[in-house]
Amino acid sequence: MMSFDEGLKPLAETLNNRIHSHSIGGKEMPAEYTIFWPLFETFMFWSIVVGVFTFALLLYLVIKFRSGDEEYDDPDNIKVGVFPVERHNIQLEIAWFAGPTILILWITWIAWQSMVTVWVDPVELEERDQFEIHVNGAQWGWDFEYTESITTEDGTVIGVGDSTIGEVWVPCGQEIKFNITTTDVIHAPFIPEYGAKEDAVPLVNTYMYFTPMENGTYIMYCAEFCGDGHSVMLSDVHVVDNPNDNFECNNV
Amino acid sequence: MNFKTGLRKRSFAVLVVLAVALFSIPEFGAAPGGIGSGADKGCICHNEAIPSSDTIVTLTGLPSTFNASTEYLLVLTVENAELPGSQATDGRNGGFRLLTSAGEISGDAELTKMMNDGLTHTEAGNDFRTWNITWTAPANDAQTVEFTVHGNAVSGDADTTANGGELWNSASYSVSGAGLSGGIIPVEQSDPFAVLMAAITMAILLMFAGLVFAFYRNDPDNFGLEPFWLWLKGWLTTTDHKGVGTLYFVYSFFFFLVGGLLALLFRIQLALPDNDFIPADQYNSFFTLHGTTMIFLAAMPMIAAFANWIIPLQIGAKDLAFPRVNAMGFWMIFFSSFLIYAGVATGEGADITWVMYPPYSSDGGSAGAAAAGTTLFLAGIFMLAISSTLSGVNFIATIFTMRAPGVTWMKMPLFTWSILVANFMLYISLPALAVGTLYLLLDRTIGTTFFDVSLGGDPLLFQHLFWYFGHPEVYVVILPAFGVISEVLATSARRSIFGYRSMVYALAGIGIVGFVVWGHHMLTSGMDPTLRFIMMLTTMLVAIPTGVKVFNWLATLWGGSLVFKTHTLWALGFIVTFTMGGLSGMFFPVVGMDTHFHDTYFVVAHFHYVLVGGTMFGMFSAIYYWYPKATGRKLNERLGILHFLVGFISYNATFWPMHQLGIMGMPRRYHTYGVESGFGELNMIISISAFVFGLSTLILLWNMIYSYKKGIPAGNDPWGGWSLEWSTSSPPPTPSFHDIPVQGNDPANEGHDDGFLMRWGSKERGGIEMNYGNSNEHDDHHDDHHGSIAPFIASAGTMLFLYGFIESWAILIIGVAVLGWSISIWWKEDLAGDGSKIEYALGEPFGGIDIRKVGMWVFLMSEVMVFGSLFSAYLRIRLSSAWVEEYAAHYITHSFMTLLPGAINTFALILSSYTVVLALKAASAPEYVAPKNMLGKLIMPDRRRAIRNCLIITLLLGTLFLILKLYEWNHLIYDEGFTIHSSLAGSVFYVTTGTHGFHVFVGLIFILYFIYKAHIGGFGPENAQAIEYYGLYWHFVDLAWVIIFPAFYLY
Repeated sequence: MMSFDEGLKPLAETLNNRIHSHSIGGKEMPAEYTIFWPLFETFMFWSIVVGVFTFALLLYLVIKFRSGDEEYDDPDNIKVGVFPVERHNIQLEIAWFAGPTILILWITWIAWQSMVTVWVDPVELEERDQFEIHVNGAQWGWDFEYTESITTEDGTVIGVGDSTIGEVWVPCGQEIKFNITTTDVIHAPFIPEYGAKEDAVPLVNTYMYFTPMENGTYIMYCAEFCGDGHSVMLSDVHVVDNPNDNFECNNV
Repeated sequence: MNFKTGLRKRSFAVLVVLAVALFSIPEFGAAPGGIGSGADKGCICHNEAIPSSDTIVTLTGLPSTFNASTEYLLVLTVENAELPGSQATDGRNGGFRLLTSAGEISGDAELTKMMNDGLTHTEAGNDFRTWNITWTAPANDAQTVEFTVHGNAVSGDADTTANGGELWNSASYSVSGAGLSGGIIPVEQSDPFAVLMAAITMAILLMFAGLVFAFYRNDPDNFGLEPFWLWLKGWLTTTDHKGVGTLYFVYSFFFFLVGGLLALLFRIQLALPDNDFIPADQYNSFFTLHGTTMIFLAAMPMIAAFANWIIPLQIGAKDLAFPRVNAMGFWMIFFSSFLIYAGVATGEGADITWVMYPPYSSDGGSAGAAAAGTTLFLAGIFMLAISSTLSGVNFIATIFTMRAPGVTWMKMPLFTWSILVANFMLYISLPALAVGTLYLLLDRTIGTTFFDVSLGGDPLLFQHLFWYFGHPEVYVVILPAFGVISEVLATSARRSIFGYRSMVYALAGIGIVGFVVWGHHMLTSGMDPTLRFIMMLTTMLVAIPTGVKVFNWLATLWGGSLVFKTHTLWALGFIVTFTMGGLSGMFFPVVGMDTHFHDTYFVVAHFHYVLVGGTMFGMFSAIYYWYPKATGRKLNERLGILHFLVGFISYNATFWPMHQLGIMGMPRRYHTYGVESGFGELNMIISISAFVFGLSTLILLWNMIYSYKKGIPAGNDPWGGWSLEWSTSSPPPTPSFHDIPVQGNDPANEGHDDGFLMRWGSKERGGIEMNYGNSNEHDDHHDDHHGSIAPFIASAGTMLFLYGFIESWAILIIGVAVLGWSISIWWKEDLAGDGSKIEYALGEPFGGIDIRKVGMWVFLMSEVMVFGSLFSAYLRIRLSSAWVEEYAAHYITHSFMTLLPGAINTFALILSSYTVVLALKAASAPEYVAPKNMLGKLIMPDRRRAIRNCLIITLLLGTLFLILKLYEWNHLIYDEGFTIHSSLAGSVFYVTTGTHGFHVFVGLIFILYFIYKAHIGGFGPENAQAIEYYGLYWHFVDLAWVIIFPAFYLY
């Protein structure tokens, strides 16, 4: 797995360089500054190419080869109870087997690099300076336990080992690692702003990584159905200035 | 006894039993805040209290009518003559819990406290039998307020006996508000469940009234019970593929409307931000039932309806291979819906989503577990699995064996191909669902610990089992739509399909690749990155054969002369929406996008594009296309085009905006969302469009009713199709073909053979020369008179059994009795029938083989998957998660007491297979030669006794197996303390060996009948095959044990 990743690094770089914010119909969309938008745009581009080709062809065929009147036009001599003439064109069929295959392999190749970005090499991960928070889901709220201290906007200091419930403070500009588990049923922290989501599974620790680039307060949903309070299992993610000088915020 | 009157009496008895079962449903323990919850026995600390009618709980001080926002002083008293409590002298005397539906309740802060939305006593309040309580009436006095009081009489601290000293009881009161005129609950207060149930009840009543009216109109002079009863009996006992197909269709359309109604109700809820039209718990039930209904009770039965109707016609068969099994498939799904919806009647409908993830669904929540109706829901899903297995065996065996001359593999209509591939997929994947549901059901009932996290359960196991089924399932519902579109487009363009062979290979390709993609549903479940990549690649690959199909459809139109009938429009609409759904599907396997999209509305948009825009559009097309074949009249084209225009536009307006909601990050299954989220506008558009889309379906409904009488007569081939169904009359006769037809071949196809499929045929293998005429002669098997009530009763019995297993012993026993009764009917019908008439398969590669034999092998394929699923679950638990030490410690290495019975059992089962073979040998020998024993004396001097005795020995060996099994279980549970509850190891051991034991038991039940039939001399060379096919099953069960034994006992 790791050796695969090495070859993909340059590709990941080019996609990472395309990371930007995005808006649809004048509305700011979430998941800005993540790998999501470069991938989405690539896939959208190819979808539109395929879609336009298919629908244009469909429209052309439907108009060109419509039956003008009810007169029976019968090129294939179709008779009830007789298997009609087999029409095929091996070149064409190979073409639309090969065409999609090449396209699929190409976009799979592109998609592959998201593995590198979303699930990082564990060895390399050890070396990265991450801000780790233990996230525990329970019906119906989130509990955050800090492994490093952080100062909130209003100057309150949250120490190592402290917990906050229903809101979490994370430093700007640094990679955040959520170490996730749950004490009852399956939940899933989901922060649309960072396009990040991972199931919280009982007895298992799962991990979620994201890097906030702007100060502010963002919403965190529960994305895995967990009962009556599923839709109110919300938390606020407060992104505050990083106490560590090595990290800089992208503040606009 | 006269068969007909006997049938009527029995049917009446069945109806009575069903009515009793239905009436008892609301009484099960799912009542909101019911007895099941520990908190309602008074105080939380008294978990072992006993309900008692001797305890009298009263609440005094309530007004006859209350005024808004007024305070009332209430006194709550608990009395029990046998347990007189003395105030505050010797400690714990009593406890209570008071719940109110509106207003605020409070009491002395030292003696009472609020807990779980109710008022209860504190530690200090434990010393009393009387408490003073203040109730502040709600501001809205136009309502009735309900009070529920639970009170415990306690014998005091002095009494140290554990539970004897605590008896509890409940009481309820209600008070009407002053603003309430005439005591009517205003509309906005009504329970959405009640609205739903009322709507469904009204729909059923309307249908019934319409039916009565139709009867009256048909024949006003003979209007009465008699013709109605005959009509009803006809439907209950029909085994004709067309009758069963119609039943499937009516059933699926009904549930299509029910599922749609559910969707509309929760679309009202979602139309506005922060809405509270439906409470959260009921909203959860609504979308759970919506999903389950649409997939299992609407889409799949509708596909089964067309498969039933059209497959035998297309391949030129008189009926399906096993008509009674086919009918049973329908009645199973019919009764399963009662279990699925049972929870709704108590206000606790299942709320576990259609994917049913534990531990929520297995009662694992800390603040709120799944609703009580879930247990019955799971039983219903289990019944659905039985139903689909039964219909699957039928379709596969039929297509394998009953194709008319000329309908070779590569000359088979594409709809038939699609049904074959879909049923194969269903058949291989379904056992995983059955096993997963069984685990869940047992977790919720008898207390296994598969998903109980506190005892080391493995919730992800269920996700794997479910999606191993769940992903093939979506192809199971889309492939038949592909088949329909292939037929419709070719016919409408008046051309033959382009690239027939690549279409078939594409279907098969989807069928194969579809099995290795399930992980993309679990990309965010903490899966290994390598596995994530594999699942990403395989999922992407599915697009290739799908693309081939789309382009082949387009090429089919080339050079044609397209007629725009309604079914054509739906087919063209299908291509547009399905392509869009397919393209959006490409976004999910990409891990970088899936972390954002997973479980958002983008997913909802995608699967509605493929399931509604794909499957349902395909089914709409099929309705317009084949309705004339089924009824003899065309559907009205004007109404049809109106339906298409309204439906297609509103459909896109409903589901397209969901893509954007998904990108914006709206999670699915959300009861409501905040104003600030910005989801409101799009949701309003979606809800309005959803109503238009829902109403457009009513146009179709009206069209079907209207055209049934008033439509234009269709003739045999209204659209110019070529396949065999158009060669028979509309509607077709029963049996569907008088003589088996022969499908011709266009002269231009000279030299196109079926490739390896043809070479694999029977001729090359020196098979039997086929006489296609032979099965035409005595066709009482497929005769119209061959109705059977047994499938109906067997399915009702299964439902009662499952219901009873969960809720009540009495109904369990009734269920077993009803099942036994149905089996006895089945046997009687078999004894009465002519067993010597064997239907041989036509066509390659099974030509000349008994159809029943093919059916048995197909069935065993499903059994292999059942045990395969059990076994892979065992391996996963054993290898990857905590395999509890206890298993080894208690069980294998130290206990000769279990190893020995296990070893004897292995020997007994293998020996019993041998005796079945001996019985077969005795039965099939043309001239029976009695064997001699070692002393040279003849044993078993005649054939009859030889067969019977061999089978009896099999029965005895099988019984020995079960007795030893019970002995061993008894030893493990009571001597070793190794129980089903103690660990995952225990659960896996008992459920796996128990499932095997159940198979042995079923085998023994059937061998009883074989022994009886052998005893009366019913077996000879002409029908010895029955023993052979039974033997196949029995050998399989033995083989399964040979795998289970080393895995559990030696390894």
